[in-house]
Amino acid sequence: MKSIQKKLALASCTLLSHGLPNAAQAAEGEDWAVDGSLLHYAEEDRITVNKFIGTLVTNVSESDKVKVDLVYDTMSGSTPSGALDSAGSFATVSTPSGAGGFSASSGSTSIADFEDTRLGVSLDWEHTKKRVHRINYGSSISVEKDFTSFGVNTNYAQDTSSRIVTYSAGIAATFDSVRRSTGGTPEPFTEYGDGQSLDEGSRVTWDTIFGVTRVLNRRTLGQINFSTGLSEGYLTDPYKLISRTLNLSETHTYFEDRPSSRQRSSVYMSMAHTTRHDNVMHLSYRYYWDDWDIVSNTIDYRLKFRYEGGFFIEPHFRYYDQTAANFYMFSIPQETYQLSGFPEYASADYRLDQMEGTTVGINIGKTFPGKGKLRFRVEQIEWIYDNSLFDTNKALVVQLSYKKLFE
Amino acid sequence: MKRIITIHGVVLGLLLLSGCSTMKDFSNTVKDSLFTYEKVKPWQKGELAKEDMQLVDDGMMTYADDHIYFSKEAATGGKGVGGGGCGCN
Repeated sequence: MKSIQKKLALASCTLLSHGLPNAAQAAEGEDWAVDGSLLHYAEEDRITVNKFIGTLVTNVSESDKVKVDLVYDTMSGSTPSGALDSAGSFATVSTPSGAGGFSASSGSTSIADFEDTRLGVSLDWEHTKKRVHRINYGSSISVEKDFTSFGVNTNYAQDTSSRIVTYSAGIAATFDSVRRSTGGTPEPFTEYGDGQSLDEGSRVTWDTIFGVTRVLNRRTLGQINFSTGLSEGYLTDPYKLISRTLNLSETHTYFEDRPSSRQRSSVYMSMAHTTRHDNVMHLSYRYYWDDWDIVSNTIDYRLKFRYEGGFFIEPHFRYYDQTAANFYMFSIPQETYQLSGFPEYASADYRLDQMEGTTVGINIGKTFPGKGKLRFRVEQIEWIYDNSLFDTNKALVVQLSYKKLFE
Repeated sequence: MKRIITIHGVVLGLLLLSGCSTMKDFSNTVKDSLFTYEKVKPWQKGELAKEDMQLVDDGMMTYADDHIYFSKEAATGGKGVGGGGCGCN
C-alpha cells in the first residue's frame, strides 16, 4: 500500500521541471535509476542533429532525491538565412567561420551552412516533507560555440489531504549570452558585409507557472497549467538576414532586428486515461499567445496499446499552428523603404511566419522483468509556412532509449 | 477559417482514434475520462499508480520533443519551467 501511495503521489504531482527527464519518475521506489537515449534528427536537405541524453537519479535519503542530467548535441547542415535567393550572389549569406558557426552555402544564397556542438548539464534536488509537500531546486548550464545559457529554478507542489488534488507553482530565471561564431553581434539593419559588430548580446528570461492536477476518476488524471514569462534583452538572431527588394528581386541584404522584450503566456491542459481495454491515452492541448502577436494551438495525442510480455505500441499524432509575428516580413519592399525607411523591427526568420505543423509517429517498446525498459520510436514532422521562401520543411526523428532501475 | 476547420477536424479525428474500435467503446472512453468525476478511494488508485499513467510517462521522449519544437516553432512552454536553453537555428 505504501508503494502505491508513493507512486500515486508522483503520478498526481505536477511535473513542473521543464528541463531534463523528471527525477520523480525515474527512481521511484528504487535507489538508482539510469536512463539514456540516442536521437537522430534529420531535415530534408537541411539540418541534421545527433543527440545523446543521459540522466542519473538517486535517493540520497527517505525524503531527498538528486538528479544529474547530461545532453550532448552535434548539429550540422544548412538553414534558411532569411535572405532571398539572388543567383550568383554569395554576399547574401552569413559570415564564413572556422570550426563552428555559419558559412556560405555553395548551393543557394538563401541557405547558410552551419556546424556546432552543444553540451548541457543540469542538477536537481527534490525534497519531500510530510509526504504531501515537495520542493525542487534546479540549475542548468548549456554551452555552444555561439551561445551560453545558465538557469536556476524552483518548483513547489502540495497534495491535498485526500491526495486527490495537487497544487503547484514554479519560477525560473534563465540568463543567455548570444554571439556569432566569429564573435559579437551585428548592428541591426546594417548591410551584410559592412562588418559593423557590437558586443555579444545578453538576455534574461523569467518564467512562472501555476498548476492544478486532479484525479478525475479511477482511470483518469487531469492537469491544467497557466504559465507566463518575460524575456528582456537581445532577442534578435545574429545570423538572420532580410532582403530589400524591388519587384521581388533582392537589391540589398541587411541583418534583422527584433524587439528587446517579449511576454509569453500559455494555458496547457493534459490528461492521461486508461481505457477499458487497458490501453493508455495521453491527450494535451496548449493555447499560447505573446506580445509579438503570435497565437498558437498545439494538440498532442498518444495511445499506448499494451500487450503480454511487457510489449507496447504507441502511435503519436501532433498538430501545431501559429500566426505570424507582427514584425515578420518576407522582405522589405523598395517602395516601403523609400517612403519611410526601415520599419521599427523586421525579421524574415521562417520560424516567425504563420505556419502549421503535423507530426505522425510510432513508439514501440518492452518492459523487462529486471526493471529495464527499452523504447524505439520513428516520427515524421512536416511544417507548412504561409509566406516564406521555402514553403515546407520535413524532418525525420529516430530515437532509441533504455532505462534501468537498481535496488 | 481554414485553420479553425483544421483544428476541429483534428480534434474530431483524435477522439475517434481514442482506442475505440466501436462507437460503444468510443462512448465509454469519453464518458470515463471527460465527464465522470468520482471521489477515488486510496484502494481504487491502482491503475493511476502505473508508470504509464504519469502525465510525463517518458522523460526522454518529452525532453527531445520539447527541444525539437522549441527550435522550430515560435510557441513554447506550458508543461513546466526551468531547463537549459539553446541558440537553435
